[in-house]
Amino acid sequence: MTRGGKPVTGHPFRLTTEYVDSSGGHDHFADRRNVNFTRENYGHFILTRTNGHIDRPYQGETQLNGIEEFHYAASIWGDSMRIKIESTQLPKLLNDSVTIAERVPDLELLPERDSYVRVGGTDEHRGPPDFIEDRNHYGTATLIEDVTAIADSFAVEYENHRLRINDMSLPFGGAFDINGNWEQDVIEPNCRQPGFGHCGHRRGQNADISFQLINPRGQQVVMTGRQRLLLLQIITLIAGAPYQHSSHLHVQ
Amino acid sequence: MFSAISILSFAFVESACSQTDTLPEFPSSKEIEPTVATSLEESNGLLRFSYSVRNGQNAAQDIWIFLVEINVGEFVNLGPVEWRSSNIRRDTIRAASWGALDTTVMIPPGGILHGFAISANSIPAITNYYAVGYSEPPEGEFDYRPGSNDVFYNSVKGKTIGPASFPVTFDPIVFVDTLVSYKHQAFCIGPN
Repeated sequence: MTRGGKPVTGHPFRLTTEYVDSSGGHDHFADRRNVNFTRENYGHFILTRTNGHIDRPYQGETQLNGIEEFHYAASIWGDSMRIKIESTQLPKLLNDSVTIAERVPDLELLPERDSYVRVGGTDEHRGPPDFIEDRNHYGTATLIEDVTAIADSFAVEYENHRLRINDMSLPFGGAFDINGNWEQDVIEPNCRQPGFGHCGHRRGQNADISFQLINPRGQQVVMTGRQRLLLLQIITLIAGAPYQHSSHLHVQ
Repeated sequence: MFSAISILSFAFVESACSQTDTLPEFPSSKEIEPTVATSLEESNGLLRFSYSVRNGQNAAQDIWIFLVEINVGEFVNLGPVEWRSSNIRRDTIRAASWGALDTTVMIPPGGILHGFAISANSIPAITNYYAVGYSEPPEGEFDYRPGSNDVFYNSVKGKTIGPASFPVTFDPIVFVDTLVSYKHQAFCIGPN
C-alpha cells in the first residue's frame, strides 16, 4: 500500500478468495462452500514472513515497507478464482482484485473421430451427447493419443463399431465432482468406491471407456465377452492395464 | 488519502503433490512361469522366427499376452488361431505382440501353445520376450505407482532369439565379437 508514492505501514486489510461461477467446466451452481473443506474449496494463503498457512479470509496489516507478501495455494478444483484485497477502514475506496486460473496445464479436447463417440455429459458438466459443449473430454496429449489408438485398434477388429468414451477430465483439470455437489471427489474414500467417484480424473491422464458400444446399425449395445476382452487387451498394450467399474474400463 | 492498494505479490504453489514413491504397485500379472522355445528357418529371403510358449505347471495365471522385442525396421508377425497379432512401441522399445481373443485360448498352467511367428529381412539376435498373466482388472478407483501397470514392467521378461537389422557396415572383427558375445550370453542363460 502506498500514499503519495510512499509505503503505508500498519494499515488494516482483508484478503480473501472468491470462486468465479461456471468456470473450469463446472456448470453447476450448488453452494460449494462446505466449511469442512475450506482450503480444498477456496485455496489458502501462506504468509511469506512466517511461512504460516492461513485460511481465507485473512485479516492483517501492512508491514514497514507497505507490503505483505503471500503465496497462494490453489484449491483442488480447476477453475477461476478471484483474489480480493480491501482496506478494512475504507473498503469501498481501497480495494483490488486479480482473477487467476487454477488449472492443469496443456489439456486438450478429445477431437471427434469415427472410431468413437464422446458421452457422459451432464447438466453439471456439460458435454455430449446431450450438449454441444464438451467439458468432460479433456486430457493430456498422451491420453488423447492413447484413446485414439485404442479406438482405432478396436475398429480394425470390429469394423464400424464405435467405442463410447465417457468422462476424461474437465477443461482445467482438477477435482471432478460427478454430481456437481463440490464434494464427491473430495471425500476419501468415497471417490474411490466402485461406480461412485472420479479421483483419477484430475490430471487429464485418465479416461473411462464404456462396456457398451455403438454397433454398425447405430444402436447402443452391451459388449460381448469377446469384445470386452479385446478392449482390455488393446488398452493393456497401448496404455497399460486398466481398472474397472461396473460400467466401464478406466484407462490410466 | 491513500492513493493505491494493490495485490503486489502472489506466488502460486501446488495444492497437492502426489507421493508416487509410496503408491502400491498395480496387481501383478507375473503369476506365470513362461518358457519360450524358438526355431528359425529361411523362406523367400526372409528369416522366420517361430516361438512356442509354455506356462509352468505351478503358474497361478494363464498367459494371455506375449511380446517379442524387435530390432528391425519392418516385420510381419502371425499368431495362433484366436490370437490377435499387432505391434506396439514404448519409448525406444518396439515389440511384436500377440493377445488371446478368448479366455479359452489362453495358455493355462501346464499348457503350451505353438504358432507365434515373426518374418523379417534380418539376422538373428538375442532379444527380450515378455509374457503377461491374465487377471480381471481390479474394481474401484486406485492410485498405482506410475508405470507399474505397463506390459513391459508388469510381465515376466526373458531372453529369446529375434530379428535384428543388418549392420550398416560389416566389420568382420566386430561380427566375430558379436557372435562370441551371443555365445557367452547363451551360456549364461542356460537351456530354456
